[in-house]
Amino acid sequence: MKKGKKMTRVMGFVLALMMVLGLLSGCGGNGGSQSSGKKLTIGIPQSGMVTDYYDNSFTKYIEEKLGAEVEFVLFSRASEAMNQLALMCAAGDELPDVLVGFSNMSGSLMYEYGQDGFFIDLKDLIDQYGTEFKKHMEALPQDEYDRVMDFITKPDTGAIYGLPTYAAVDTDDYVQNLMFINEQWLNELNLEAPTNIDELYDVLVAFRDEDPNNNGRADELPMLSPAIYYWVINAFVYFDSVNPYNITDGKVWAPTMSEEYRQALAYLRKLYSEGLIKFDSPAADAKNTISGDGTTARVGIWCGYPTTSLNHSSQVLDQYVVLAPLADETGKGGYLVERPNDLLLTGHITKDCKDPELAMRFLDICYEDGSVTRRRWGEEGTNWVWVDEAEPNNYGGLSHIKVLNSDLFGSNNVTWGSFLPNIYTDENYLVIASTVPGFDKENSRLCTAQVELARTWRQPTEKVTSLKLTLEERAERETINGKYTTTLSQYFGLFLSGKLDSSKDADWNKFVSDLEACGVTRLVEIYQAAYDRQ
Amino acid sequence: MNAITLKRRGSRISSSDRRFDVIITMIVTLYVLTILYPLIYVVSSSFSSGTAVTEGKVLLWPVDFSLQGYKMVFNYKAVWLGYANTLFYTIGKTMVSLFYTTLVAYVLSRKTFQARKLFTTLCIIPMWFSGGLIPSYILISGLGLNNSRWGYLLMTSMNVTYMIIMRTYFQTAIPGELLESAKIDGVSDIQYLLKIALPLAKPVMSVITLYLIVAEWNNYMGPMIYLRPTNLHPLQLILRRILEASQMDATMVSDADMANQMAQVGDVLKYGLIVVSTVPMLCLFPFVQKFFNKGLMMGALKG
Amino acid sequence: MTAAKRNKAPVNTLIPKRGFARFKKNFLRDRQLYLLIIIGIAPFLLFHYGPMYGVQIAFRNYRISDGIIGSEWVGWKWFNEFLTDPNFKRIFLNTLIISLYSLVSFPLPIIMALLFNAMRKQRYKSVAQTISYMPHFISMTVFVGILNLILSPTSGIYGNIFRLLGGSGYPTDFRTLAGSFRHLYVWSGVWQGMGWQTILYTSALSSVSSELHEAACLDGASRFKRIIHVDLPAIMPTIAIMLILRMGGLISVGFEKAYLMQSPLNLSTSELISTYVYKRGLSDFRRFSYGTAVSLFNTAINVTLMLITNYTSKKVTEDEISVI
Repeated sequence: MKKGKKMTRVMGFVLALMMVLGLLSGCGGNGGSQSSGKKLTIGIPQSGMVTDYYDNSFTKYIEEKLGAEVEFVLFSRASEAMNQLALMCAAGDELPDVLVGFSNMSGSLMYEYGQDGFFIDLKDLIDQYGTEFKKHMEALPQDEYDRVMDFITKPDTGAIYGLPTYAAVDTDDYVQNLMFINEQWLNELNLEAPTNIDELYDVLVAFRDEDPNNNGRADELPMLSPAIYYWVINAFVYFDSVNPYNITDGKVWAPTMSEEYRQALAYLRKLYSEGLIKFDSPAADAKNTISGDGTTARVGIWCGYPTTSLNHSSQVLDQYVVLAPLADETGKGGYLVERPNDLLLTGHITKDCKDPELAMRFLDICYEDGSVTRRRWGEEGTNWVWVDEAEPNNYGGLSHIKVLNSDLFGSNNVTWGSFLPNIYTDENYLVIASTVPGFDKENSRLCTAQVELARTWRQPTEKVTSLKLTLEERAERETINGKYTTTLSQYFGLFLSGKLDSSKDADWNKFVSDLEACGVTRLVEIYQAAYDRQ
Repeated sequence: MNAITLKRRGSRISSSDRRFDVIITMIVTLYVLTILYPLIYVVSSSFSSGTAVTEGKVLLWPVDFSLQGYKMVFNYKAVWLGYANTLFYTIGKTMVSLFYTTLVAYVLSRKTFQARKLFTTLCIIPMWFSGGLIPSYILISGLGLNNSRWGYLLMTSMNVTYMIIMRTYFQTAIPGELLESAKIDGVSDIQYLLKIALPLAKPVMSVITLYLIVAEWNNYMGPMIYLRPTNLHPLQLILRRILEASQMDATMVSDADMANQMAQVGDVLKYGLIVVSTVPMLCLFPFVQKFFNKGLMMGALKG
Repeated sequence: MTAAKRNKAPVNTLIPKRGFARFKKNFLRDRQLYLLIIIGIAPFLLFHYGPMYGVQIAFRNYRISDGIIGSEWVGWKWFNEFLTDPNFKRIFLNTLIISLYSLVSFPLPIIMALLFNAMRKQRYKSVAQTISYMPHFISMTVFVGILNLILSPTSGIYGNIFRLLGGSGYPTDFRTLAGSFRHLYVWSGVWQGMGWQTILYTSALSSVSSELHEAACLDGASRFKRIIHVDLPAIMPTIAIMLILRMGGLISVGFEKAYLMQSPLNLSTSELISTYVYKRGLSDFRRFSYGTAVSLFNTAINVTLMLITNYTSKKVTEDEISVI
């Protein structure tokens, strides 16, 4: 009986608590509804690092520039945000006026949203209010201009349902991760940096066996990276992992079905079985491995961004130099691989937007150099200042800003932390780029070397990425590539670990026939047709 | 009662039993030690500096002792509101779901109930077939239950798995004679549930309450879909956002340095947040265990 | 009172009535039960059966503007696409193998619960059990992170122990091998989840009558024998039900953990149906149709497995324990 009473008391407390919390829901939320003037609702995938979007100085900056109040509809991030958007549309919920930062949006999905009337056509709005956007677009070289326009324009109707984020610059952030080799080890062993795969093999063996870091222990890892094998394959045949199709002399072909790819697999298998290449440890672990013990390096060759691939406390970066792409023994291959994801769709205006002009002006502000600087580096005066005398920055350009402190996140709330529409060109990026305090000169040295190499190294003359496909062809490409990449990576593992042998015809033919079953040949035909049309 | 039986048993320990005791204690100790590792790791990381964690220096004990993580967690306004929301959802949804689940489990445990087969089938089918996210969302949105705290409670229904577990318990652990004699005494079905079945089902009720509490405490999928405004978000959703931000993701921010910065802030935050969000769950088990021991006493009484 | 009077006669001695009359009589007798179950089940029916018409998008080419009912009917197209995919055989086998392998984790919590229950130091038992369920609260990303850290050949505990024991260089990196993925996946799951699953059995054990133990003691049964002959049979119903439920979800292996543990070299074993569907990245609305078709495929297997287990349990326990 006593217990029963106690129970009732507990329940009473719980119910009271619930009531209080329930009431909270009534008063929480949309506080300042001043309705003094115009209002723009922005839908944005939320970053966990931005603790408050309303009480955020970048929001204030935008409100001032726009002369309107900004409200947010916050989405979860990346793929989940895409789901939430689809659900809102399916249920007929009211959409925010403008969507930014939905960087997972693909072209074909955007066309569907546009065709179904959820996104509006921006063509006329751009003409009228898109001054900054047009200015930056026109600054692009013709082929890049075409590529961006093709990307955002619906092929059959010519409607534009979204604005891009495009980085047309060769900074370290935007070139494909290059390889870095330990020069100190090379000197120690009296070796030259390898230029082709035969030399690479010899160098790796020496790294493994001859204790180049002089600590008397066999703790050297000749080659390491989650992505470095692309460079090895690339020594045999041009291999763009996102779009693995090549064009030679007017013919489209799949490099993965070629004899060169087969040789590359055999070569990689050899490296792997002899302990010359270590594969794909999780990113955090790779970082610790490359950093060595802080003063002694452990890794001979790695691949990644120099600014982020090592721990900050590590001192080994000065031992490394950029390693140019390798060639096979006949001198073929060795092209620079295009960096994926340099072009994204990040700004859309929806059907529920009452003031498309305002929304377009907001999107256009995002392209302004000033706002790009503002959201990348934070508040002027607090986080950075303009300097009269430009300093050389990490990327071989001259920078006019000096970063004072780069604590943008946590509860500082000075930026939004997700993709907004913008176009980086060499001119505007290098001015606003800066050297972050804390990054030493070794970083700058490698970044500059990397950028230089990326600017000058040879690239294939024709790429499938510049081909124009129709709507149906794009859909088909998506279906085929989804299967293709999975099949490719599964077989890659099987060949590398020795479960399958690429030198055996039976195994190789099974691989090729599986690729064909994915529709690779069909996609080659599609690309060929597109090529012939142009 | 319990103590007496135990003591009586204790007086008759044979040597083989003693050996058995030692073996069990050893196995359990070994198991607990392996389990302790990830727990200690999380706690140690939460008291270490962000760089020590990112650089993999924390292996067991805190490195560069620092309260930075906790400071950031408590400065994070959303965390406090998230806590309140989590409490509200957890308590509310657990009560509602437990209520429905108990009713259905009790009725379906009655073997003479005529429509038993029909209702059981009705309960089982949704375990396999679900209409998927889109029609569910359309329904909830149509009923106007999304984006509101009370609406989120209202979209609760019984849990089939727990219903089946509870039903089995009613059927097997409560002797059928009890029902028959109660019927003879003129006890109605509802009275029988309240006065006899429920008190006897305390162990299973407590464990299912625990399961419901924990499931809702850890739930982020439902709130993510149905509760878009940030002020309605529970703690897990906030935690998840931070976990994601601390994994570098090139599709989210435009340059590597910025991603790196976010990752470091995230590493400082996440362990502290895990500790803060898990501590209340630590206190639950001893509470639940009390009911287990009561169950033991019941068993002794009824024999 | 009158209701109870009417109920007095045991059911099996009633003269069988036919059709509606019998229904009416039973309905009146059970009217309180009907009331209870209607209250209990109504929201469930609304929230689970209400959206169920959505299953048909597996047979349609879903477009948001056309709605579920209005989208074009494409029949078995998505099923065909899934089943004729060159990757299908491998991912299906991977999923099947890992779900069957995961069944080893089924008896472990039972054994653990019996051991906990047999412990005599109550304080220690309580502490141990509280600790054992804590890993359940560590989110998957962090848990896989800890796993990677321990098993790192360069900086982890595993590598350090290897070097401490006199090994030179680095030990094999199990995290990346195709051959070790399944073991890591299953056993780390046991490590994280066993204590949590133990709780249910502990609660079932707590209702075992101590009289039974007393009687067994008098017969001179050892502790071990009492566990086997008293405790285990007492929780058998719970075990059977848990097994049936487990089989009913066998093939639906979660996506997050496998995805986090993938690396290019282990994809030949770690690519599962769930991770593949995620990665297919059908970015337009078709992915809803495709995803639903794949989950219907999973359902077909799950239903079969569950019904078989259920049938077996029914036979063995003579209709005593079953889900349906």
